[in-house]
Amino acid sequence: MPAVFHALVRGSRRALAAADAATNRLYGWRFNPLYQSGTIAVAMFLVLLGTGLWLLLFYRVGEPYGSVARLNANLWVGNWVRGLHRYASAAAVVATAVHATRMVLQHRFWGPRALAWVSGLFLVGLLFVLGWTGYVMVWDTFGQRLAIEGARFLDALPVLSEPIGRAFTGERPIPGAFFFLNLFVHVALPLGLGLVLWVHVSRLARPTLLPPRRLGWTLVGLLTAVAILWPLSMSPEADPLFRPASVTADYFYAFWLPFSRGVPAGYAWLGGGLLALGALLVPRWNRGERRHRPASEVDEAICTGCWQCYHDCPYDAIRMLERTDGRADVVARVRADLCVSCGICAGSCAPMGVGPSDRTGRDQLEGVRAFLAAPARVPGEVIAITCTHGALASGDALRAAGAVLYPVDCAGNLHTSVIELALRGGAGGVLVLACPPRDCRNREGPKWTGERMYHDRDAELQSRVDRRRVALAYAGPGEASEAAAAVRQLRAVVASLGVAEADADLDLVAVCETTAAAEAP
Amino acid sequence: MNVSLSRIVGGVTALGAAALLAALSRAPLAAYPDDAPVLRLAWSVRPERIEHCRTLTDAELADVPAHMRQRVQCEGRSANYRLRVAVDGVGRLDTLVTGGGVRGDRPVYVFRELPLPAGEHQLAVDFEREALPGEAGRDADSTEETAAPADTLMAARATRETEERIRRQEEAVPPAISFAAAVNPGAREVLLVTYDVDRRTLVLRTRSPAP
Repeated sequence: MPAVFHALVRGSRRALAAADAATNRLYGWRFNPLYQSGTIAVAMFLVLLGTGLWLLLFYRVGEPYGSVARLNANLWVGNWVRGLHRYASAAAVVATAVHATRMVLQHRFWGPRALAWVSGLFLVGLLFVLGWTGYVMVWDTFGQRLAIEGARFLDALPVLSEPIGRAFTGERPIPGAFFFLNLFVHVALPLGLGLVLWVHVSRLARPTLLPPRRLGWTLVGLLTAVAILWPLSMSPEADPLFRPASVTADYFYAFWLPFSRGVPAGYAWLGGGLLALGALLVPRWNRGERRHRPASEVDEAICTGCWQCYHDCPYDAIRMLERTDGRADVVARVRADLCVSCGICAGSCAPMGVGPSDRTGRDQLEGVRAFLAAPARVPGEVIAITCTHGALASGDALRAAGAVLYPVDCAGNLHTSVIELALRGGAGGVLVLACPPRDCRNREGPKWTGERMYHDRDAELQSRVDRRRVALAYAGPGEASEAAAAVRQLRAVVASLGVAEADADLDLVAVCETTAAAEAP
Repeated sequence: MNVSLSRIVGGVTALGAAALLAALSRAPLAAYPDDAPVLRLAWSVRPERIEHCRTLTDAELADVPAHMRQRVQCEGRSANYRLRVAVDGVGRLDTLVTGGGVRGDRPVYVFRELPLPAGEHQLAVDFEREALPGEAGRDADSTEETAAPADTLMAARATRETEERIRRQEEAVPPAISFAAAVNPGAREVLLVTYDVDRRTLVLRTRSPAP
């Protein structure tokens, strides 16, 4: 079973990488909707709020179907708004599904991310309840089908003195209180959803809530265009005394309907409950992850209190505290319960005093020294520093393009001294192949790396390093050709520059410590 | 892929995805695959109380705190009902229906759906109170009058209690109700047999006016 499971995960990762790469080719990584799935879900939520408030003005609980039918007949201010409301709700489900799939396949749910995972599951639940109440509001044949099936499940719970299902048998007209309650839930739940969304992103230092403006408006425009060009029609009104052969359904919210028919409500609750419980416990099953990915630690003797790791940490896991060792100013302290071991702090620390064990700047320099000392190294070759989760998957293509690979856990973890040491050690050029910025497992790795290499963000790549021999490119795990092209481009530049003089004797650790001490506040 | 080609393919892909999204949010879904009409039995009624009531003596009443004194004390349970359905003289359902709740003292709720063959049928539905062992021959809410009210206060209370018992009895479903009719439902039609509170009997409701 584990072998099958792992094969399934591997296959899914390959499929996701291929989909990402194909979408990048079409839209570029900045506007890749697959990378922006979480923010698109939020954008669709805002569209739903806007269109929903408008639709609410025309809805009558005393005449649910009639009021929606009148609204639907109005092509100018009714039909397309209703269409946009519906399509945005469908897009929200798709975006949520893509987002959840990415988080699972990228293993972004354990440890400190468990809160986001669990709150995300609640968001999914709220989204489906919102959809359910929204369709029941219309009270057409689809709404009736959903109401009857929902009532069947609720009536299996021994909490209500009289079955809800009784309201839909046709014995008497549906009580207005039902539609009022349904409307109330549909209007009130978005408030709860907003609250859970806040919890969902609460552990991020700089949560990105909305997609790039161009992408967001393009999506809204597309959905509006479809709503106008393909106007929504009304299904027949619900009739408790007639059983239609089929209903016009929204598969995004009613995909379960064909499967639930004939399943006893008790079994449905049991199955659904086990599924939900299993999903909630996913982070707990991955508790062992911490052993492989320990939290960052601060060497307080080295820390200069520069605040850079505090600013760069994507998870607000670093605090700056008063020193207790008699030295002035502050010292960084890592909150292990919030640290996901991304190592970005290691890349931010000029004197190399912070980071997960084995991945601090000093550890990285040790590693690259050993790498350069290997007999296979040839002066003048191009070293591709690849993110383990990204371009390393294109290893064969990179080697074929003439690069030697130096994998790192995350480009954001990379200390720029590694680049300098590689060049001083005889490399002709160094290509840092980071994941596309919107797809970094550690959120901000490529962003900070770019700033450290080209915009003097601490710990910056020193000005003494020949920038012509250095390049930064983005490539996801499915973008072998793009990664190889970047290698070939740098090789061409390096070839024109000739072989650089090796100078590995410079003690970069000492230089970094001296520089950091001089720059310390 | 050059830039203009990727833009064209990207645009077409986005439009296609949006159209697919719209199509899947308004696609036909099989609701009730079977064409057969359905007989739906649905009603909720208050069951009769099968009670044995006894009028307390003045001495017994004196032992009860003043605010809890009731001249007539009743003990018992809600009645169970036998539901029988026959179509063209053939029994299709014969089941015992009990009141809701753990103690069975909540309203009796009936909800059954039986598929009917197409065409004309003679329908018979019977809903009868089930006689329990030891209760045969005893009427519901039977009372043994053993003593007269002792004072004006208790007399007023006794009157109210009697009225309450009568009201409860009247609200309860009659001991036996039935419905019989010839029906000819159309495909997918639901024939609803339900309880008419005003007429205190079972009635048929259909999409078209009942025959």
